[in-house]
Amino acid sequence: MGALIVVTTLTLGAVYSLIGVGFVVMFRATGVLSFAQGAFFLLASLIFYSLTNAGLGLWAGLVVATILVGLAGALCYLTVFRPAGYDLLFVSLATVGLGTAIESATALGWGSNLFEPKNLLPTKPHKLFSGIRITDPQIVTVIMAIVLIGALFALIYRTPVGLRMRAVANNSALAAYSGVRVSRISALAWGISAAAAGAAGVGYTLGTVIDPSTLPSLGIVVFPAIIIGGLDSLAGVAVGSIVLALVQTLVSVYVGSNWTDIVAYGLLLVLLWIRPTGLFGSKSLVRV
Amino acid sequence: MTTGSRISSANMPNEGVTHMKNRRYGAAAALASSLVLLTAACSSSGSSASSGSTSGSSGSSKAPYNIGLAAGITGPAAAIVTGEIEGIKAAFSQVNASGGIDGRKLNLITSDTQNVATTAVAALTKLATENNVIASFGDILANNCQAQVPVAKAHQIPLICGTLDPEQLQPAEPYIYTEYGAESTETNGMTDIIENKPLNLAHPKVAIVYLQSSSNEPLFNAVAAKIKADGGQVVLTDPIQAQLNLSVDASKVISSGANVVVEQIIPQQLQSLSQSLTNSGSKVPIVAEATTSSYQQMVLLKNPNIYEMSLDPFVDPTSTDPAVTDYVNALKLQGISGVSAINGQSIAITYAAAEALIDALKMCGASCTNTEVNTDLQKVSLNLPGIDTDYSYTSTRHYPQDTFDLYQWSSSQNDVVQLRDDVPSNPLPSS
Repeated sequence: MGALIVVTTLTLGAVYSLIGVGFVVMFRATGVLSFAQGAFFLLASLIFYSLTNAGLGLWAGLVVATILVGLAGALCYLTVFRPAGYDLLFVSLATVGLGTAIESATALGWGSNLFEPKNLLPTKPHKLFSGIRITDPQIVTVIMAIVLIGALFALIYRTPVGLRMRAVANNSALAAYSGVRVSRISALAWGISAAAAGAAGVGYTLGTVIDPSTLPSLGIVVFPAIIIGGLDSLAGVAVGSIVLALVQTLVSVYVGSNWTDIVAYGLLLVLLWIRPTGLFGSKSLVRV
Repeated sequence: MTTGSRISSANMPNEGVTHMKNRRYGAAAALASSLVLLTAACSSSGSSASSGSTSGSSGSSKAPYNIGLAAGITGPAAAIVTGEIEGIKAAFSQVNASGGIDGRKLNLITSDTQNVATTAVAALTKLATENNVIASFGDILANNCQAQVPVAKAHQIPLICGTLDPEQLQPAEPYIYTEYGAESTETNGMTDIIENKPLNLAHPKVAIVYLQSSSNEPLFNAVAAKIKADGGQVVLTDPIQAQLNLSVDASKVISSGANVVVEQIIPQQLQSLSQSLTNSGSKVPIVAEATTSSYQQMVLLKNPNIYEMSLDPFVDPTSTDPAVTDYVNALKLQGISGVSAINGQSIAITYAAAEALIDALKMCGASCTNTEVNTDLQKVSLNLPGIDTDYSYTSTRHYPQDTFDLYQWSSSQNDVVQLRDDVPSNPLPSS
């Protein structure tokens, strides 16, 4: 059972990380908590499905789907949210409607039935040590999570663009006074956040069916992970995801699968009481 | 960092005039986007002039029969409701092509409930009061359709729900019908599959894995009781929630020593469970409860260890049965073809339900009232070979299906095969 706990924690944690980084990038760069990440997640998986069915390979499909969803995210900001002004609470709440609109659009475009992406990776498990078995899709998901978090960390903390993003999130008025093109940076942030959700969508659906009715809800499932880790911390989302996955797995094994959500959200509440900003969140953060 | 701060153009000197110009363009873009969304929303609520209509040409001199559908066209059940609409349109189009019922064509009017109970009530009320529907299909979710029941009764409109809780089906309530029986009618069927054909396990060790809900608990409690009464054992009861990774649950199944699994979980969960079992080298058979079964799911999973009970009949498009030919041709007119597409969720079962409604309308002819439709629905007994051979209502039973079908994926045939068409159901417990 130990091997199972390790593999499940790792792969589940990777999935949560992939989904969670999009939230954190958006919040880190714009101050907006986007509830549309699940919808971008779904959109990317469906685009990937269509591209690979048309003959495109795994990595090309991943790149194209991610870019397209990123463009969609930027377009959403430019056409809808930028004209709305910069009331962050309003924008955060409006992303609920955006998510619904995207999900409805995917239903119109692809229908609402189940979709099976091509088996681009073998699903036969590899036997590692101590009885640990892991499949290629699971390995790819873990690698994608590590690469994506690393790349976004480098972008936000090691590049001029990332510096501008942090400036906008910290104080958009002051950033504007300093010459930062706030709208452009925000559009970029939206695009990157949506693209991150897109990459997560593709990574998650490798080796599983695409169920449009349940996939978007993963955007909410990951919330405890990002709150535990800290809403504005990339390192935090990785740690929070592992913590959440570990807790859920242990509870599932030793208590019961129907207790996983109660314990996960209970842990979230306890942590918020002890450390409101999360494990790695900025102490100066004021939550909506 | 503070939140909720509003920035005006005056505070953004670097973007000054450009910002003002951009705001105009942005406002225009926002207006255009809003108009697009508004148009989409209006078209989704449906009208006799828009895509939901099957009223045919304007040459008909008699007013059409308006039939409503108040269900979650958007939301988590959208796939199922889309299938319902396709099935209903297929049935109605055949009738309308031959001139309707005594010259009156059938007009489907849809109203989106968005899977919210309060919206479901408003949607059906609108259909009853503004569109004067003579009958209506209700929401696919039991609690939402339950909310619609008082509206149907108040306006005396026959309402065909997806499903309802057992308490709403026994005794039969006036004007209230379902396409699917309550889940608790599956108890005998699930145990029959295990103890008799095809699994033939005399003293089975059963693992029960199910989504925790008010409708599943009674079913699986009843299954467990029957298994024990018949000499078997329940070695694992594993209620789960929304998690999509069931590798831990698969491990519990293996550890429990179960030689059969009965389940009611969603497709992604079933895939996770079955894949995890397969990866561990287990070939334990999985008996899938009927309401989440689908041909598509079986084709996607391609797992011969899964035995799916089915309320939705799986239609063979190559069948020469006239009922199948009519069904396939009617769907082809909507651009739906191929074995997987014609077996999409809820299409066939709702087609059968629509045919039942058509039969009831034919019984009362050109001047049907809603109360007459209600009376005649209780006399309907449909036999659609290749689609559904026993769709019927009676005055005391307002849900169809006396038997279920059983299907399995065949690797050798690379297709879904029917193993049985006689899996028994059990009567609802009297309340």
